[in-house]
Amino acid sequence: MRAPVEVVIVAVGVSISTWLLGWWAAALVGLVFGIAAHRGTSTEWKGAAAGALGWALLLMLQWTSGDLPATARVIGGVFGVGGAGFIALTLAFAAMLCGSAAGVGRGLARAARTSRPVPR
Amino acid sequence: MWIRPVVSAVILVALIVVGAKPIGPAPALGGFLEPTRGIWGLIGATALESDSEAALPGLEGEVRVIYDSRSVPHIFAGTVEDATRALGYVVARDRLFQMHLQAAAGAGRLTELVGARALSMDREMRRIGLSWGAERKLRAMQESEGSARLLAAYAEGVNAYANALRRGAVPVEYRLLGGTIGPWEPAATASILMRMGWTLAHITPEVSRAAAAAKVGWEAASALFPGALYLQDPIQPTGSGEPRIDRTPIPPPGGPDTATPILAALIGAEEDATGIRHFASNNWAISPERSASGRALLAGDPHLELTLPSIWYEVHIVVPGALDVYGVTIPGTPGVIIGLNRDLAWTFTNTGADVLDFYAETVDDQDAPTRYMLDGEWRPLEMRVEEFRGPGGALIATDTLYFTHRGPMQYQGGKWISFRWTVLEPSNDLEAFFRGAAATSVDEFLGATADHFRAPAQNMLVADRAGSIGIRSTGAFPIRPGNGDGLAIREGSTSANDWRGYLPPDRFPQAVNPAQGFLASANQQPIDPITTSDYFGGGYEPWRALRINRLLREDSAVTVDAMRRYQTDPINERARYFLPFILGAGESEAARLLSEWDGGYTPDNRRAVLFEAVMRQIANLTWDELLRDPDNVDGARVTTPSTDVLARLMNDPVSAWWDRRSTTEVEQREDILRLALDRGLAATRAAYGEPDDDRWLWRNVRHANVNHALRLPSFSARGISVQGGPGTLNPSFGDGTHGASWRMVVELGDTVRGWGIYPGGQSGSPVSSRYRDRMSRWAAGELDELQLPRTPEELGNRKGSLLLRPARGRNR
Repeated sequence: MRAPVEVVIVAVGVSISTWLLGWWAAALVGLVFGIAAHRGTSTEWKGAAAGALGWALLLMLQWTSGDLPATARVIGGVFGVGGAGFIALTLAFAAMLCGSAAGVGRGLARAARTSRPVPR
Repeated sequence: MWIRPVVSAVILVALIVVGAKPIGPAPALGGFLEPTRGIWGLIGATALESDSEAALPGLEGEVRVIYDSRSVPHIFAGTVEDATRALGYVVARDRLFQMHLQAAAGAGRLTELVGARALSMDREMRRIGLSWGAERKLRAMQESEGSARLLAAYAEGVNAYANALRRGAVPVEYRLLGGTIGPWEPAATASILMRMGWTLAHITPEVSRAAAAAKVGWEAASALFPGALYLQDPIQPTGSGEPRIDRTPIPPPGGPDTATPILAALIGAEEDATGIRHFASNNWAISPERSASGRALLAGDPHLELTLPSIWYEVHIVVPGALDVYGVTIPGTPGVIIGLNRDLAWTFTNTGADVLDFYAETVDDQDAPTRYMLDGEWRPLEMRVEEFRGPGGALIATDTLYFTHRGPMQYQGGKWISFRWTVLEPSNDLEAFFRGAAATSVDEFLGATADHFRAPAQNMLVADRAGSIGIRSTGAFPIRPGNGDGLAIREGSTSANDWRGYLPPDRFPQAVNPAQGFLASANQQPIDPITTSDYFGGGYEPWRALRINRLLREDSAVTVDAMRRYQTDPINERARYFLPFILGAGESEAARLLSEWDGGYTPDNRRAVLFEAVMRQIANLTWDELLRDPDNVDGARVTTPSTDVLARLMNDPVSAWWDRRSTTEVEQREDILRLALDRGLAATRAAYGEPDDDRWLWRNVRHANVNHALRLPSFSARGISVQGGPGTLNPSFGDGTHGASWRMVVELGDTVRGWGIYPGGQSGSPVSSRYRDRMSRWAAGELDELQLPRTPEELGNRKGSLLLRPARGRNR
């Protein structure tokens, strides 16, 4: 599967699971993705991209109900990062959560494969 | 090959920790940043939907709430109780955090919201008896069946909203602080009323006098903090048509009263040694014969702390046949405090009356008292152990408080001092608002409020459609033994020093339909002290009162627009009084610059800044006798007499007060004024450059700063240019955090029309477009026309609507 398609599919998974379960679901999806894609390359980066994209999709949905930039500006001001900075912080959190979970999942899957007994 | 998964695992664990647990002041990031239930869930959460519905337990029938184009909810209900439930619901919808914060502040329970950082503030509130008094006030309110029902109905409305609140719509402050939303109880309303009492009526002239006496003796101190203003233009018209000038000279400074420092310590340090009173207000009313339209007019603008969200919330309540009232409520209180109905309009200013007295008590044990002496017998002290808890409920601290029959007793300056204060006395002030809102005439309104309103004493101004105008200083004014004033610490061991009761309403300062055709109050003394033996105290500076009285005397055809303009009138009577003295002191560059000035505080004025600097220098140079440290001439004073006293002193050019103790020469008035001019100009140059520099523009000097309760800059509106300065009708002074909190003008004709505005917006959510949507119009002195539909159908331009339906079961 080509990387962009992989990322989009995982991102949709992140969106739906976050919406249903909560913030930690981004890590859960990342973990599953890491296990499933452990043979591939750049699993962590793909997971990170999917995490950010998944939450970005949810933010865009929120934008339809009100003024997202204004909210970002006000809340970003509290943390001294500004509006763009606060959006970046949100997406970075999701990216790191999903990406690091993907890395853990990939590592676990590879460890399981290498420790499996070799058939005689 | 293990490095990548290990690094990933470390990052993941760290993220899960910071995602799930608050670290320091930061909230748990996971739930906070989550796009649906987290902070982003606030987007749209405060939007007013066009056709929303909600179930409200306890309702007897459906209630329709229509939001007009200014986001004001118009509540149409079948009963007053249902309307009050709906009021609780809609106020909570917009101001939930603010209500809980204000109640916690009044109850001394802020630590439960913000943790130990609020402990000292909470301790102070409990120490002065606010939580004790709130319990007494609540009992008094609940003794009235009607008030009890309305308090309970309001709480039901608040809780119905809070209980149905989805996670994404929880106010941002709770997310930042990490607290939870507790149930709303009627006691919270009592706490908010107590807090208002503390804000407006915790006035202790004893402290200023004692502080001054410790430096210059009692005779001089009494003149520096007099019982009567020099420029006397009282609320109750004298009929003279002009201010009375009290020619009594100020005696020279005497020697320090050696006993007084101890006395001063007993009642606490001077709270505001600058002499500035932050809480003030204006109101005035015009009889039909002096208005251009031939209709009575009324205006009011209470000056309080400017906050985001505003301390006020605008609302209209319609219960056919029972109530049709529009105005502002304080979130957390079930009634309209200032407003209008179909027959009349009313507004308040603070009396600033002296309603707090201190008593030196004799106790059985200085370290752990259990009894106090009264009339030769030991009486048991009431003891309360106050507990302070954190957001999670953990005990942070405890305090043991003592109470005599007079009120709280504190250990200060080596003595036990109790105090009696009208704010702590049981009263059902809400009843005054309930009845006042339903009154139909000036007499009915004044009667209803005089019967029920106790504290904080207010100058209640009312005008009706029949063309009557009336004002009455209303509240509990103690009758004291002895000379009747409240300016000394009394001996507590005898009941002969106790209050003898309260003045009856017919002795309150008041006037109805005076011959002058108008009534005005700006916190000046309510009645000329030479015309009464009753003591009210009060000592606000007279400048705003002089200004509004001058404007109204000169205008025999007042219009609604003139009323609006007067509320932000830039001319300062204080400047007009002092300028001739200052300019007469001799030629100088500063005098030349000030001679170009008209005494106005418009945003583009370049001279007001210099005048204020010169006035500061005059105070510094004149009141050097009151320096905390006599050797530090640039240091702080123990207290500062008002500019009304300085105005009196101006008429005595050789008074000993002009002499500076730090020099060998004997200075007189002209010496001080010349020096103040030079120093004021130098200080202004140092701060703002040369006189033609744009930094001298008033708009670049004076700003309103409207802070959010958490003082977060992005939740606040700071640096707002305003027209006005110290002493103008739209006062702006100090750090700019106080000012006109609500401006209202009402015309009372065949139909009643109203205009109003407050700084901020209806929503308490900082991310809402309705959070500060009125700010620029408020700063410009504009007013919005108030919509007064009799039915939901009459309201054309709507922002949203809400149908509240009865639900089974009752809320907490």
